[in-house]
Amino acid sequence: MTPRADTSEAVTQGTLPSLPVTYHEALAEYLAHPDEATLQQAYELGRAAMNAGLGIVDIIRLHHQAMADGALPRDMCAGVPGLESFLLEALSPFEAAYRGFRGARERLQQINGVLAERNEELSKSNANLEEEIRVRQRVEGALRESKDHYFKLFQQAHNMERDLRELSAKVLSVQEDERKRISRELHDEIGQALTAVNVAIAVLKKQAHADGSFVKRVADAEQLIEQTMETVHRFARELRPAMLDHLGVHSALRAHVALFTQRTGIKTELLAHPDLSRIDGARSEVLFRVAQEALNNVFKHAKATAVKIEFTSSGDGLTMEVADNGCSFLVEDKLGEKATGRLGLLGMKERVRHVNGNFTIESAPSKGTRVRVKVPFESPPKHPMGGDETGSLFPMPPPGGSPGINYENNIRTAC
Amino acid sequence: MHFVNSKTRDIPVIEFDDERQTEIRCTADVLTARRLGRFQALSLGFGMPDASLVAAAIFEVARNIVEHAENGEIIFRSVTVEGRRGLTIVARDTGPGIPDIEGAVNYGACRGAGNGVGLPGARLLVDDFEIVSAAGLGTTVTMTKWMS
Repeated sequence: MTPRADTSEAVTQGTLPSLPVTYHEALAEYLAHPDEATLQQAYELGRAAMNAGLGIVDIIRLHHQAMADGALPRDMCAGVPGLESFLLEALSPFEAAYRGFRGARERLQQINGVLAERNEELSKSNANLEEEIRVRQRVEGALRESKDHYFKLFQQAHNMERDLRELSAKVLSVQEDERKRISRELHDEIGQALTAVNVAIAVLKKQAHADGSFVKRVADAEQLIEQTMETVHRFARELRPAMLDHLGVHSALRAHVALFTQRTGIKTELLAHPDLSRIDGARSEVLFRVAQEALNNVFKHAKATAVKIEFTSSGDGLTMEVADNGCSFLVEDKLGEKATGRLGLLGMKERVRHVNGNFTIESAPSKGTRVRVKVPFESPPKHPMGGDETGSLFPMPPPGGSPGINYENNIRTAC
Repeated sequence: MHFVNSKTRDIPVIEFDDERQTEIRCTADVLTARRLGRFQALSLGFGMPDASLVAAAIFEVARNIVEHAENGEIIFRSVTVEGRRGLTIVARDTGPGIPDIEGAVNYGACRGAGNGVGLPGARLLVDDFEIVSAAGLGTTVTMTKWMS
C-alpha cells in the first residue's frame, strides 16, 4: 500500500483529481436520486479512497469540499439526513479495515503476552540451569580433590605395603640364615662336645667296676647325654634340615614326616612327584616350611588321625596339598590373627607370596582342612613396582587412571 | 466445515419478531438486499452509522453469492434474545461451497487482506458471524448485529 501521507498530499495537490470530482458527482447524483445504488457508489468510493491510502479525515474533507461547492443545490443540502448517510457509506470500508486491524492487534498483544511468559519461563529455566551448572562444577571440583586425595593415600598405602613386604622378606631370609647357623652350631659344636662328653663317660664307666652305685650314676649320666644329643640333633634338623640342602625337599619331608608320625602317632602319607626336582632351593624351602607348619597345626589343633601330603603338577607350577581329617576352623578368623606367638598361617602365606606362589586354605566341617600351595617352576622377572604378581593389596593403578577401581577384585588373593 | 463467531450460540431461545426474504441473482438484487437490510435496521431502531455497517456487510455477502454461486437468497430476521434486540441476516446459496472456510473468513489467506473486502469484511462489521459450508453443498452465512 502506498504511504498514506504521500497520497493525501497527492489528492490535495491535484495529481489524483478524479477522487474529489468523483465524490462530488456521486454526492450530487445521490442528492438527486437518494437510492441504494448511489449509496453503493459512496461505499465503492470509500473503498477506492482507502485503497489509494486515504484516511477518514481525508474522506470528511472530500465530503465538506463537495458540500461547499456551489454546484450542489443548496436547498437540497440543508437538513437532508441523506448527506450523513452518504458519508457513513463512504466511511464503512474504513470501519471494517479498522476493526480488522484492531482484531489483529489484540491477537498480536496476546501473542506478545504469551511470548513474554515464555521469555520469563525461559529465563527462569536458564537461571535454574546456570545454578545446576554451578552446583555440578562444585561437585566436580570436590570429586577431583577427593580423587587426588585418595590417589595419594593409595600411593602411600602401596609404598608402605611394598616396604613391609621387603622387610618381611628380609626377616624371613635372616631368620632362615639364623636357623641355618644355629642348626650348624648345634650339630657341629654342641653335638661334637656332647659326643666328647659321652666318650669321656664311657671311659669313666670302664674304670669304675667296683662301686655299683657309682656305675649306676655313670650309666644314668650316659643315658642323659644320649637323650640330650638326640634332642640337639632333632632341634638342629627342625631348625634347618641339612637334607633340604643336600637331598632335596622330598627327602627332607620324608624324614620330617617319619619323625612326625613317630612323635605324634598321626598316620601321615607322603606321595612323591617327579616334578619336585624342578623346584629350586628357595621354593623347596617354602614347601618344606609350609608342610612343617601345616603338620604342626594338625597336631596342635586338628585332632586328626591321618594326614596326606600330595603334589600335582600343572604347566606352570607345582601344587602341594596337605589334607587332614580333623576338625575344621574359620579360615578368615585364623588368617586375621596377629596375637599368636608363631606367625602361623600368615607366615605361610607371606613365605608363599614371596616366591610368587599361591596359598589357599579350605576348611569345612567333617571334611577337615586342606592347605594348598602352588609355586611356579620358573622365577618370573621381578616386577620393579612389586605389582600384581606378588598379590599386592594395593596394586598400582594404571597411569592416569582412577585409583582403586578393581580394588575389590584384587584384595581376594588368599582364600 | 463450520465456523462460529457467535456470542449467542449457546442460547437456545430466539424469538422471531419479523422475517423478510429476497432472492440474489444479479447486482441489482445486491442493491435490493442492501436497501432492505438498511430499512430493516433503521426500523428496528439502529442509528444511521450502524445501518450503514449492516448494509456494507450485506453487500459483501450478497456480492459473494453473485460472484461465486450465482443463485441464492438473503433472509432478514428481527430477533430478541434475553431482551436484546438484533437483526439477523442469513445469506444462503446452492453454489460450489467453500473448501477452506478458515482461509475464507480470515485475512491473509485470501485477496485484499486488511481492507474489509469480502467475507472477512462482513465478519468484522457484525457482532455474530457463523458460516457453514462444504464443497458441493453450498454456503450459509448467518450474521447478527445487536443493538447496543
